[in-house]
Amino acid sequence: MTEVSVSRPAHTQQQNLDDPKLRGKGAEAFSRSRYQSTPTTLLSVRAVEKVFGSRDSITHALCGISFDVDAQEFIAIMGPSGSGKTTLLNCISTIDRVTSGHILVNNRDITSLGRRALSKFRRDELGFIFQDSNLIDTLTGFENIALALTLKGIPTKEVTPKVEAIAKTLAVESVLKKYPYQMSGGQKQRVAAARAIVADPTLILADEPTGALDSRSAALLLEILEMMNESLGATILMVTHDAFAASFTTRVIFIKDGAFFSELRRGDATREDFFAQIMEIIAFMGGEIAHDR
Amino acid sequence: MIAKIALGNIRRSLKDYTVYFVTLLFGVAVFYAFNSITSQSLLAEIDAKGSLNIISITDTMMGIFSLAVAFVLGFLIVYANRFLIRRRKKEFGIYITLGMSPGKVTAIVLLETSLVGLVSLVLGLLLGIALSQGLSFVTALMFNMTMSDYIFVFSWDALIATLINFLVIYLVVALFNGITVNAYNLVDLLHGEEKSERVSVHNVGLSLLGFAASIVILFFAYQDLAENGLQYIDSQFIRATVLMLIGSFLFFWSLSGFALTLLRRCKRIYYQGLSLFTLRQLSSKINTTFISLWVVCVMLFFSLTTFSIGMGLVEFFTADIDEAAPYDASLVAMIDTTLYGSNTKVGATEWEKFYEDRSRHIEQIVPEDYQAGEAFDWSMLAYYSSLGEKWDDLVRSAAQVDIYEAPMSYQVLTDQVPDALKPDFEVDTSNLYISLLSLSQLNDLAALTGKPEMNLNADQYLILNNFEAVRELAESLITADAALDISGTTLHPTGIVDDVKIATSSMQDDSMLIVVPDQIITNLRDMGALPTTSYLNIMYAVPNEEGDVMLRDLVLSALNANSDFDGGNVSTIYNAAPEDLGNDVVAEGDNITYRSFGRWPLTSTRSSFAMRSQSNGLRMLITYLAIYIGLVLLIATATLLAIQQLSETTDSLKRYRLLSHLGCERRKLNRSLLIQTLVYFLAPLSLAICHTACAISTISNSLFSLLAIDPSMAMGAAALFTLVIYGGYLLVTYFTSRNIVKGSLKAA
Repeated sequence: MTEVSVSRPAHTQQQNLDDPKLRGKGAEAFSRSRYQSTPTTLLSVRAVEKVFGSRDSITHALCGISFDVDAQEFIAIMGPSGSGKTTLLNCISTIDRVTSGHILVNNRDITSLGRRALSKFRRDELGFIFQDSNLIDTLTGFENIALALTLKGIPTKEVTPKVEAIAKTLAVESVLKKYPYQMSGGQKQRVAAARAIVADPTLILADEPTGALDSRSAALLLEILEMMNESLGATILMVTHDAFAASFTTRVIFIKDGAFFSELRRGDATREDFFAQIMEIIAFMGGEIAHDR
Repeated sequence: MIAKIALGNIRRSLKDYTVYFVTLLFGVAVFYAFNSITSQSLLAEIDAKGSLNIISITDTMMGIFSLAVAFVLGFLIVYANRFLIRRRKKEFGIYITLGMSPGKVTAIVLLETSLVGLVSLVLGLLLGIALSQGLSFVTALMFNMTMSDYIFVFSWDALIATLINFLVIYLVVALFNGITVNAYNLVDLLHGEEKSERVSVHNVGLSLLGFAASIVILFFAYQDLAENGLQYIDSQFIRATVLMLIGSFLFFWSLSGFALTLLRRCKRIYYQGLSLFTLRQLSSKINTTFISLWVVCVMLFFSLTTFSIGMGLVEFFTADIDEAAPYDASLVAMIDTTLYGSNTKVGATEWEKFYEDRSRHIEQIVPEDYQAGEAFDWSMLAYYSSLGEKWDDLVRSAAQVDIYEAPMSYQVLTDQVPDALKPDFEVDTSNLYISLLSLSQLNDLAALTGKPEMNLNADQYLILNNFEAVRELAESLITADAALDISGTTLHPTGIVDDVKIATSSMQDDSMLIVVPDQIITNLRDMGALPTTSYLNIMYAVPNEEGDVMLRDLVLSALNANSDFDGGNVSTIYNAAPEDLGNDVVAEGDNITYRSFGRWPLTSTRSSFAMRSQSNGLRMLITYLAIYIGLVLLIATATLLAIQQLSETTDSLKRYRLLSHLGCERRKLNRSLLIQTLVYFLAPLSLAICHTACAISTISNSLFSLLAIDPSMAMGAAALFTLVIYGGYLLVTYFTSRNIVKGSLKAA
């Protein structure tokens, strides 16, 4: 518990107030004071609000959330159901638009981009790993990975060596010629991971990547993500409500009711210790995540 | 409540309904328009004037083909409907989960189907009525008539036929929908969209082998067809057909495997943007639907050939009716029908004996005709002009031509042609007697239509030939200077006459008649020769329709006075053995065209007016049938492809969403959709065009060129039709699938 309070910025105490208006303003001040983008800041989420619904029934999915991600970080975003994790990820991945606030990637504001520029942004800067792999079932493993390159317009000569190299690194060489329906869930997710990283994106977004996997496959995938982060220098932002998955990361951001709740840095802690710390926060948050599981 | 849901559903899925609706609309419109052809006021007018029952023939033919068309349309509509139901499984599942009884869901579906059916029926009928007005203009054009006073065409018969037909189809659709919705498990309904497709991949080696085999088989099929010439339905034709079917089947079975293998080698293309996705989409699609593509290809082939050959035949039957029927009427007396009944080879005999035998034969079997002929020295002109007033009132001018036969075959001429000069088209001339006519009679005919007089030296002959099929043969005789020896006189050819007709008929069919100096014919007569056939060609002094009536009156009264005409005993000289053809005068009802009476002074009459009506009627019949069948098959194939492509798009929405997610621009997605649609539509069309080109070029070589038919007009029209209908469906399919994808991306 002591460690938790250390790693938690003092400002956030205010944000636990229930008044949404105050929350928003607090976040505004918070982002201005503390999170001025530094040169190494890769992603900067600033006071993002997302409101669903019309005049009659308004849902505040995100209430002015702010945080920064530095290059080569592996970040988990945790929170109970309905806390806005997925909405946040959708906003960062530009599939959804923010109601207010800004998201900066490499100091470029992506919330004001047009449709075409958004496509280009997703293609060039982002890599995706989804809960249900989302491989194209008519393509082989090789072609699914290659697609990320060909969409980006990589010279055709480079496609095959790049795909083969990443497949070797992620240990999916054996399924390159197989179709998704011939692969196991873990294999599919690793191919998806390969697809996400092959085109060398600025940021990899992973939405509950272990959600549909058994624990052994999940561990394998997480080790691979860890390796992608450590050896290949990939910056990964992972949404999860699984403390085990989160324990593989370097930092965990907890959100609740659409706002920043707390964060936890791994530092030099072992994975087991980090896992214990995460569990403590979860308990602190009211065990809602645990219920969710 | 149910009505509200049904209406809302239709409004919501208006775009999905487009293809279904358009198909219904076209189906109803085409069905009505072609069934109403015989109600056109213009045709009634023509029927009243012309003495032909072309209307009833057209009616019967349209009826027969409409039955087939009804089946095709019925199948299509059920198929299109299935696509709609499949798309909405989940919706039905939700209704049932919410506690709605399956019966009520069925009621909603039925109501939707009926509403769409009703609207399309009404709109289709309106379109059909508009279309039938257009068709009556086309009819007028075909009969070379001007629509002086436009009369609105409406046919109750066609309306009732259309209503009955489509009500039956809707009933089948309703039944089908009811069964479908009731038969589904709730689980299937709810998870209907999530059916993950197992990729069906054919073995690469087998695909390559199959593709090579299909090309080889098609090559042999084409070769067989070219040899057969599309002339006879023999074992070779059947083999060509079977090979074509097998070859096409193998082609589509192996197409995607082959193309994929090939294109995967071209990494430059394969790993370019979305191409690998597009290719995989197409290949998985074609791998699962190759049977449909095969059926579509065969149907398209039938559609295109039916249309092209039909239009070509129209050309043939009707193009030169003006040249084929230059005389207002021709009275034909077929005196010696020996030729028509016997297959005996023509052998050289004594000339006198030859003629003597034939005369005796005629005297024996038709003594009265023989007597009458002898009494007038076989001059029809003398016989008919002796009838006095009736003749004089009718006839402005007349000319008789007598055809004599020499006791030798055309082989004596064709044998003189060296092999190098022989035409490609060979005619067995060994059992055809050489037909002769005198120069002066030819000049009489020429004078009748105001053509210049011709001259011959005593040792010359002309060839009268206006039958395209043997033109080359006639020309080869001239080139080879084929000498003709007639009872001691040797004649040499000087040229071909092709602008004079022996008699009025439906086409230019006078073949290789030898025109000789009068002296030769006189010699033959001296030897006892009788003309085998005589034609008395008449130009009326009165308008044609009036003239035809007067002629009939003249002929009947003349023959009545001359023989024991009792109006009964119908028989046709072409079908009966010569021995059976007594002196019975044959007539049936009011018509005298192509009726056989006896031998002399009349076997049959032909009138220019009747020939024209017949020719126009034939042209109308063939044209409409060709358009009808071609159109329906074209619509059917295009609909089939459209529905399959649309359901493919619907099934692939998850993939498109993912691609968009991965940063693929919508422009690129649209292009991929366009390529998929294009390939899916054009693959069967291309092969069908190849087949059609082979069939048409074959029939061109074997038949059309001989008959001087230029099929390019027909093919152009077919191409235009295909472009409009097929292309229209292609565009509708593309834009609909684009909208489906766009909607799905927005929703995500």
